[in-house]
Amino acid sequence: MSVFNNYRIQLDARKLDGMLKLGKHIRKEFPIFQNAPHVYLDSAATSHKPQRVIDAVSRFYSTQYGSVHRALHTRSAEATRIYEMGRSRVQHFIGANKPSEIIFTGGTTESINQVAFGFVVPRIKAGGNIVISAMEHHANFLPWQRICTQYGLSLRRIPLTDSGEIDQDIAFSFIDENTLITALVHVSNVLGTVNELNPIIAHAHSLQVPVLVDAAQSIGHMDVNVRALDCDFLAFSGHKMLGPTGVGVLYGRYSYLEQMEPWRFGGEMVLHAGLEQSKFKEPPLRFEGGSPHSAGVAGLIAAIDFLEEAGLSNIHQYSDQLLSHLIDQLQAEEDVHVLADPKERSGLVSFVLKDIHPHDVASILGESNVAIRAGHHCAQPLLRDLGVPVTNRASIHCYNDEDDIEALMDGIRRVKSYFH
Amino acid sequence: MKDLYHPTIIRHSKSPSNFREDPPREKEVVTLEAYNPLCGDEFTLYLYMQGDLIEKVQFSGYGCAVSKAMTSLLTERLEGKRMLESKVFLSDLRRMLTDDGESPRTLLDEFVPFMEVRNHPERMTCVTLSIDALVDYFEPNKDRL
Repeated sequence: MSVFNNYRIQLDARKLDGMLKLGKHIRKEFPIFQNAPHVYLDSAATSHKPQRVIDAVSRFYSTQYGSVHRALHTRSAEATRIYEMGRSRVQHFIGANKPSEIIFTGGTTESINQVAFGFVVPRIKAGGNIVISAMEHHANFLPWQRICTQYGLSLRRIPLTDSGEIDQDIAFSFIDENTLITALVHVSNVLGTVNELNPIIAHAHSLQVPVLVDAAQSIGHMDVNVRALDCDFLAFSGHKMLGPTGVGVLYGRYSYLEQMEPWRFGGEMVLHAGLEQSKFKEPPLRFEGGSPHSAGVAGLIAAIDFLEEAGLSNIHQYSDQLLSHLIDQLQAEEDVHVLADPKERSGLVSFVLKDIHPHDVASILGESNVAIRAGHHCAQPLLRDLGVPVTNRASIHCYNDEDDIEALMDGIRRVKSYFH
Repeated sequence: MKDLYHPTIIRHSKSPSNFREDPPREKEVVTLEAYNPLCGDEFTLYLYMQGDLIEKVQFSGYGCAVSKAMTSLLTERLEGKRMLESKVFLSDLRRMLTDDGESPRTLLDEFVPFMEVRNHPERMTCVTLSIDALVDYFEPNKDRL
């Protein structure tokens, strides 16, 4: 990870030559690149894992394993220690006030569903509305659509500007005193737009409207801080931030967590289970019914270690440079159209090739071991707005470099040679 | 992969037969939806039936080169067939494309380029998309598995 420190020095000295090759050094820490060499430009779907994350999961099962929060024996105590350490690590990683504001979930989807059904549903009142944006992933669209259909609420979908950003003026007009929650994506998984959420959040708060931020695509790519965002809920997954699959986080402002109802009932979340009535534990445990994915938390700690050692600002700067390079290359290529042109973009870009279906593009690229995504990216309403059923999406992380971009561009030229 | 993008497939995808932009106005046309939620490919097939005779097949919609070429070729081959004949044809075609053990029938020669999909299982639904929509119509109770 010292390479990123060198990178900082290079940046300071304005020695930009060779800078976009840094990912090659980082890549050495990710065993999949040695074991199954490939060009990976699909980190927005899921990121690869550094050896230390894999080791942490293995070490947890080999030497530290036991039930969490249940037994009195040493193994359970050790597993519980690691699990709770994970909570503190996440707390500091996102700038929460206390560990009890961190709930471990299965991922972003589960985190958002917990808020939808545990927090919003019990607060529903007639004439209420829910505000989201037109660029939400299905995970931050379908739970709200479901609630609105079920309880007769209106779902207000803030449209996008021509450059692919949330229309702030319309956002202000949509959020009113009847808004039950505003749920917005931090970085769009289709357009890469980094949304400027602070003004919208400030407006929502002036009306006492809580705000949930879907940070699935921003976490691990930039410093995501709940105090700086001033959001009330934040949802993200471990697997997109170099961590294991199956573990995710829901941050909630403690005063709201106290009002939130459990959504998954079962073991470990209850204080006293009576025959007619039961009393549940305090947050966050009342939201973690069932045996938690403790090994996932052990891996998540290692992922946070990795990201913090590399430095999120370094990763952010590096991937911004690399993404600009990628977009320049795509725009310079004939018959390639890049979607959206936001002021700030992070980690990914969607594009289409003239008259060539994105699936054919991804399929032919796959032949030369270049992995990109083709599809609707779980954001069908957005693609419908954009007038394209599917797109190609190339996404990067700290282990990518300019050779990967070159491989992509070579591949795109070969795709064109098949069809033109 | 080059083999999957055989000249026949490229040709049909670039200038598909019986393709139309908008749905037909005639009310009596049988309309079938072929939708793949995995990739978003979506074709609408229009069957002009005269009793149990397929007079003409057209399609509209959006899909990859492979699914579009397959749909194009299907519209050509189904024209003039009767229901029973179509069922046998589709069943033979599906078996030829998906079943490793079966050797292709000569009458399905022009579909041979699509057999390359056996080497690319992730593209299998591209070739079966419109076939299955047709099978569902001709044999609504057939278990595809």
